[in-house]
Amino acid sequence: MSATTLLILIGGFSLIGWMVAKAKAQRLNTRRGALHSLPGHHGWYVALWVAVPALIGVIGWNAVSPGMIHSAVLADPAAASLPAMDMERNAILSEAYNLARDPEAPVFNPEAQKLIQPIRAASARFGMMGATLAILLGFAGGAFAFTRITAGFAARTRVERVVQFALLAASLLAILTTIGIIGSLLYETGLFFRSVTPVSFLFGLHWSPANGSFGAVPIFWGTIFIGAIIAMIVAIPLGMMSAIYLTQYATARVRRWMKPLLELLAGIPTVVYGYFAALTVAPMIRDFATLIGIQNPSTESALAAGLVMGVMIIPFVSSMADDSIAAVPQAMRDGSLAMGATTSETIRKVLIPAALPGIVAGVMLAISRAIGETMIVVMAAGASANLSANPFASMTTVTFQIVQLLTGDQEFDSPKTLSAFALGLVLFIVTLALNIIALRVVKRFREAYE
Amino acid sequence: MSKTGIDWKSPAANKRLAARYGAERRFKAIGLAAILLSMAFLAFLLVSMLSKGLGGLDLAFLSGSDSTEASTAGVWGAVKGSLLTMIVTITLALPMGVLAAVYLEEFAPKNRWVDLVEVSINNLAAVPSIIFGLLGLAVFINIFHLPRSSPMVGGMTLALMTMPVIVIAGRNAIKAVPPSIRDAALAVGASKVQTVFHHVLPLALPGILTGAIIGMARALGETAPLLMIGMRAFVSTPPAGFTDPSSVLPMQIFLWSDEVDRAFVQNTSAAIIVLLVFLLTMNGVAIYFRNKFETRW
Repeated sequence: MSATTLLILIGGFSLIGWMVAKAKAQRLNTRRGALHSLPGHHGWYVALWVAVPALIGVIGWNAVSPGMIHSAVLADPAAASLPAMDMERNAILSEAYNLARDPEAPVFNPEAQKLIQPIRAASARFGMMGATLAILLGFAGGAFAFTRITAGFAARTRVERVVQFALLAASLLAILTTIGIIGSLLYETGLFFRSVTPVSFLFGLHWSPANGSFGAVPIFWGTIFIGAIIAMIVAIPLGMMSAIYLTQYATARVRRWMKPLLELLAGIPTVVYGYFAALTVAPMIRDFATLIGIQNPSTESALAAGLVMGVMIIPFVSSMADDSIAAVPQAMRDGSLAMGATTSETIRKVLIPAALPGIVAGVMLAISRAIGETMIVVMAAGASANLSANPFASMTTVTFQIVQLLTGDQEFDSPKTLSAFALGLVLFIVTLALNIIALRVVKRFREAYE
Repeated sequence: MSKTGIDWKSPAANKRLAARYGAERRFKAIGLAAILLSMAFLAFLLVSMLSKGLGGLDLAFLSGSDSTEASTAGVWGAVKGSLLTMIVTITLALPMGVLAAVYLEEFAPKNRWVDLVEVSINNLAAVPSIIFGLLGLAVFINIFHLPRSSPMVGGMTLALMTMPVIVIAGRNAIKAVPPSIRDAALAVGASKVQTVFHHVLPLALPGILTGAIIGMARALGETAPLLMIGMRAFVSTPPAGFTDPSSVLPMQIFLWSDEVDRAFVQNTSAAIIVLLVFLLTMNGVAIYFRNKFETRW
């Protein structure tokens, strides 16, 4: 019996339990207020008592049955001719399991073919036993629950306890994800640091994984230069001025049209920006470099990636600046205007200084987003790790290297692939720190004006 | 001379005033220029994609799959991969996200554990997407041995990325439902769970769905995490199920952009147009939802 059929069966039995229990509860409902809970709650109570034990049965059986199938297969006469050597025997067995699951799997060992039949027979037999066990458990649970239904039975309280448990479980998934990220990054990084010391990784000046040198400083520099310097030189003035114009000068109608259009910039997928940067912006910058007299400029420049990344960040900076300026009390603005300052003087001398903590926090969030950005740099920056401040040079970033190191066809536990996780850990810690500090600043800044 | 000692009519005062008004006009012009520059970039990007790609958009392109030959390559295989991936993402992320939002907003006690959940959700929303790809690679593929480059693993990875977005949108929507609604339900004998599921959640639904659509649009355009779990296979037939090797639309764009053959430029731009049409439709639906069903209490 396949897993899907079994699940549908369990679902069907739960439904039957729901209907039967509801009918019983309705019969008990002889006068107004006779029942403690609605008939539907009694229905859910029985349905849960069918489904939960049955599913526990399925999960438990799946945990123990492979071992039982295995010993049944080994006891089969066809397994008697297997070599006694553990390694060989296990190889043949695992191949036979693969073949039993997928008849088109490649065959290396003719021995394995003989085992397919016993494996299939054993799987079918134990599968049937498991299904029967699950359904019996469901019936037992349902019957137990059904007998408990009386007019005064508090089905609602019990069902709602399960619902609350499910809610709690869903919110724990967020913590599990965080733990999963930190755990997997730390584990793989630990393996990496067995072959490369943390000091030579964090402070080494030479990056060339193919030759076994893992000094990540040039990569960190490239990331900072593209994401935190070039991109911010583009994004901060344009984003700030856009926000100021939209909130302080534009009429309501202009704002209604301009704001969604500006936000559209944030909705364009990064792969599109990357393609645009590589195909259109990078050649333009190369031509420009030739024009100002740079010999043999490379097609992949830090400037192209940084510029396009900056444009991508504009709406982000703009909306953060917008929020911070809006949080400044109206009285400060009115006071400045009443003293005879012009609008631009009010903005420059009153609003921006007052909103500065919020704006700085917004810029930090923007930087954390820029350095984590992947596709633009993968498509428009370069692969060579250069430690230079020349924007026309090819430069590489943390995210580019992670992609580069993990998309080749190499074995999984070489230092080369593991170093990608070490870079990922550094990226995670830096973005996390930027975010936490920025959120703190924003919170304190909001409180200051409340 | 006036009492304050300033002669507003003097040439010097006039000059100063003129300078100040000039500065005012310049500042306003700079603001307008900034926003127009951003718009110009957007227009330049869209026009250059349209001019390069519109010629390649025909039925054969929309119904074909990837091919080594630029003239026969199409996007249907990638679109179908994207659809399957999005189905997995939404079936995991929407229920989990809504349930978590309900718990945090309506049931959670105030203690250190709940603070930890909140902090980790807020931080997950800001973690770079490539980190989720590393997580998917380490957990789903290396530990659980799920099929590489399949819509199932891709969808699960993107679901982890989308869930925080839905939780945050869901919490804001639930927070916006006025307490009087809850008080009224509780007053006539509804339990806490009944109050939430019969009254609060339906009222918060437009806000939740808007957030979900925006989260899905982000997931649909995402490439980096899928690169990590190997969804860059060359797939010449559309995937038949959730465990088949498959590609997705942004990945197809990335793969084609790497082709040396210049003929693929048209294909790439055409695929970008298809992707943008999907995204704009989703965002349009989200904005429509927000305007249509938003209630100001």
